[in-house]
Amino acid sequence: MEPTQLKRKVKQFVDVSLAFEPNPLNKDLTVLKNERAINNSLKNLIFIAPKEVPFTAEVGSNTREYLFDQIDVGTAGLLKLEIERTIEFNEPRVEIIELTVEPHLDRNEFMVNVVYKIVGYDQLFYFDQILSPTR
Amino acid sequence: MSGPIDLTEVDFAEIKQNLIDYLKSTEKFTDFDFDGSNLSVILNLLAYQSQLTAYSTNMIANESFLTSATLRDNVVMNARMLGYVPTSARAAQSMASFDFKLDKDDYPNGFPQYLEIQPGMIFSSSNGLNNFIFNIIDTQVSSVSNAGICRFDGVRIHEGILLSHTFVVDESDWSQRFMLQNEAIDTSTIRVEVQEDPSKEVNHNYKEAKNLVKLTQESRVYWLEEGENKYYELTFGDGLFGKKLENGAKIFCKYLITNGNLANGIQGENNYTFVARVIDSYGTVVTTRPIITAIEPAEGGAELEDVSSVKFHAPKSYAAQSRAVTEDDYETIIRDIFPAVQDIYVFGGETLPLPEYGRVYVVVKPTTGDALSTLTKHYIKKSLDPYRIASLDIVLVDPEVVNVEIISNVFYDEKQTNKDSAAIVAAVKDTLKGYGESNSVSKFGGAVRYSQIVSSIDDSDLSITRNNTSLRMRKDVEFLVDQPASYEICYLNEIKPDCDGPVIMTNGFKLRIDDVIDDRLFYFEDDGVGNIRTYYYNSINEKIIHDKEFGTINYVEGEIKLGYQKPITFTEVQASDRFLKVTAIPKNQDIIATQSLFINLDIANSSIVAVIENKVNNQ
Repeated sequence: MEPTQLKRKVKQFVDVSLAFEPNPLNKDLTVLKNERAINNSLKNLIFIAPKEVPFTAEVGSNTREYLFDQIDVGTAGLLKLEIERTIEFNEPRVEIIELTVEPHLDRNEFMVNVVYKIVGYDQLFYFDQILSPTR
Repeated sequence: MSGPIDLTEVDFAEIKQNLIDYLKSTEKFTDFDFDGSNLSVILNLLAYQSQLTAYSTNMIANESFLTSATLRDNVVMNARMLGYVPTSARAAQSMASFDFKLDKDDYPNGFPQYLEIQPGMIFSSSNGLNNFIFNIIDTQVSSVSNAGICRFDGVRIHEGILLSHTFVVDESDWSQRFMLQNEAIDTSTIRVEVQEDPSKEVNHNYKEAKNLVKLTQESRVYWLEEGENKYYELTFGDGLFGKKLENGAKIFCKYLITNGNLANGIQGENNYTFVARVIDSYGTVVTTRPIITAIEPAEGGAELEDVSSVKFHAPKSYAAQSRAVTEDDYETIIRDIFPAVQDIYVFGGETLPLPEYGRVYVVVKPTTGDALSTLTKHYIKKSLDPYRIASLDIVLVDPEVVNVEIISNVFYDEKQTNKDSAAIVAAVKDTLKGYGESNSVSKFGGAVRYSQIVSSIDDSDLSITRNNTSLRMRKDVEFLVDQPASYEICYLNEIKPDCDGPVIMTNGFKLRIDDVIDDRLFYFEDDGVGNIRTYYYNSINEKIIHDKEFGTINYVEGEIKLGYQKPITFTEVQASDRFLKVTAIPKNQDIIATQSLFINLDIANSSIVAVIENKVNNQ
């Protein structure tokens, strides 16, 4: 009788890259895995405006509205709350450890830094994104 | 193991779920469940596109068939494939007679030979709410007598505004269409003249063709069809069937646009003012105004046939094949000829108790009033001629309208509502009015169901606890004033005989007895054993039976006969009413409209009383 082999199945998050560039090795579609997939998801959620997704109005964030306000600490506070709400509401894989939004007055932009854990794992991951108003 | 993707759903969420199910089966990607993932973006895009395609395909398929199409243009195009042209709006019509009395001083050289009225406005009129113009469509000419009197008798007038439009045939324009761009057009008033040769000013009349039968390459005909946006379109022959129009030919169209049913019911000479321009045989304008001697009540005005009606009638019209053979054929064709019809009942003469072979009886209930005028009956009968089977006689008869009155005590709990009794009565009447206008009552073969009346009353307001209701049948008999006659009053429903009291009641009337007008106000009732007797009240208000053999009543057949032994002469009825109102209590709870009977639920004359309930269950 052969001994039973126990194999630990590691959960992976696999997403497709919207760049649609072929993998240089196997010419397959580029995939994003784990924290890269989640970072990309966070970016998407922040950029999607509510009602943009058909028939699902609650997905996305209102960050765009704040970007045209004054670049100051007050707006940054509101932006932080909105991003926090968006992640907690739409991204169940992420547990936020720290979220900061810094106003860069001279460059007319906000710097968003997120430190998070993937739910069920101990490792910390970092995500940052510059938000600047564009017309 | 991946299978095919199911993309046949029309719902966004279901399509997306099908895509997710497919991805799950591939086990290549896992992030499809998360809203922010790129896969989700792609899935949303795919699902949305699939949903749009599915929706469009579904709508296109729906609109391709007569039964499922909803947009008017598509319904009309589908009906066109069955050879059906939707009935346009119809102008209210009337027949007017008027006399000109020319003054000798205006014509020192003698009266003209004739007077002529050109097509266009002839009368202005009003129904109290709106003003209307009545027109003549064709030129009217009448000769002048030696005494200077010119009589125009029975001139058909149409409500609306007469318009004209000219087209020039342009063969270089391959897509040229002759559309009359007005949706309120009455197509029965369209007159088409064509100047066939551009270099000769000679116009020819063109007639509307309904099919290709008997047409040659020289036939001067046009076809009429409804095009887009409720506009009617004229098409002309191709040189094989119907004369082909040459390049540069001019088409002169004259037609009436109408207010539909708004002008129905205008009556009385005083409501009409003559406004036409009249020219005599010398070519001068006549300034004398005529005296209107008679004008029939305006009727027959109707709106453009709506989508549901087109869907209903197009297949039936196709089944009739432009032939009046079955009862349904008559109904379809009459609705086309005269759209202002509420319902039609057709039966063969062979079904009568005394069979009359070779006759078809057509009972028409118009939308306004209880019966058609003689003029309209004649018009319908004449219009049916091309469709009827040879040797078959068509007889148009009036419907037997029975008014059903409701006698009801409505009990309501005043703690359940802040309405007073008048508001409760209004709510009940409103509900009953809706029931009366429903398709189950107001038609031939309809019925007033006692249980439905009772439950409708209970449902009128939440505070209504119960009701005590009974029904009565009333016939409004138009009597001949001061002329001896016999009358038959049919309810076609069994009447309830009652030994304890009469079940027939009337309003008061006066009679001519033995050639003398009797000043007493008479009434009649039944005696419970099959006789109708008259009575009156004397000076001390005692009821005195006068004539015990005034008529007879057959309770089972629901039939009253008056004056069959000796003709009766009515002189007038109480309170200057036009009708003798005869009320009967039905034996059965339901009142059924059989044969030519048409039921009218008369809410205005019903007696509905709201009473505060004093036996309310406290629970």
